[in-house]
Amino acid sequence: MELKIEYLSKEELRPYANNAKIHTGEQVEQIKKSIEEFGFNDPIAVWHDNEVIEGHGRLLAVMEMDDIKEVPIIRLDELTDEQRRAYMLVHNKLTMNTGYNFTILQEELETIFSVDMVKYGFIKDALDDIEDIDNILSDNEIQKPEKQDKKMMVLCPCCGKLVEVA
Amino acid sequence: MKIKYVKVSEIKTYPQNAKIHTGEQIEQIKKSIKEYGFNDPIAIWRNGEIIEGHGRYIAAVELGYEEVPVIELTELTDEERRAYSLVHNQLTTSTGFDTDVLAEELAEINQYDMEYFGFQLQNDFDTSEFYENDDRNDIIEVVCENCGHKFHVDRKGNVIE
Repeated sequence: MELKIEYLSKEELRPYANNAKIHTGEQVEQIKKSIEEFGFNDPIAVWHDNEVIEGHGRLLAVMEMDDIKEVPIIRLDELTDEQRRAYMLVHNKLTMNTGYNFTILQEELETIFSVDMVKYGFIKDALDDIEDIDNILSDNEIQKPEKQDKKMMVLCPCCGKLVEVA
Repeated sequence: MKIKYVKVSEIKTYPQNAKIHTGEQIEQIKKSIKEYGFNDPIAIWRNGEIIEGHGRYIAAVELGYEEVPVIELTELTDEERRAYSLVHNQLTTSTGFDTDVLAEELAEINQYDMEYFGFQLQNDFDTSEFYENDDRNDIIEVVCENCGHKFHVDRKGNVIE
């Protein structure tokens, strides 16, 4: 199957109702900032009826960005229903299965000046702080859901704005 | 934005890529490509160096792919492509799964070996301890800060008018 980019109005995209990936308000803000700074560089994968397979966080972000009306998408219509549900989980899981080489990460962070990397959750001088290393390393273990992770973001069915659920 | 198919020999890894790709993860990516296809194009910079997609690139080479789909992000400066490479990885790993929803989804997937990808089919911990009150089945009333519209959502974020 050859991949192709198509542009769709963001309102035409529909989130998958049982998406297991959590998108916190903080993460959605970081995605918005990334789109502002670097562009919308990662197309959203969609299935039949424009239902999102991967890219829920990016969709939540653009719904809050008035100057973005259309988004690039890739159609994965050839997947069966079970395949697209499995792939959705696998896609997210595989990026979480490995972490960073902290020596290289530190070297890279030290040469980036024009972008505020702390805003994206990077800790400069992470190597000097043993506690931080423990925190980062534990991300590779099973992630226990934290209370603050439970802040859900939903779209208002009336005006389409992103609203935090208490 | 356009997807191009280029020969694997035309692209190269970024020598200072901070993301670790273990042998086990590459095997998992290969299995994902075999089962679901190569669905996520590799982002490359103007010199052919990968910005994001190192794991998929290694997996494709090991699978004997001659060509891979790429998106060229030529407008980024050198500093921007290095920053975006880190940010892209960071934002996908900064939040996890809702373990209740995950368990529901995994329970309905029978044809694929999800444990191979690192999923544990049974939750090792009781998520209820993270809630003061176990109110996960509740319907929550939400008032939109923007337009004042009142609506309801369930704990999974499904809107119920």
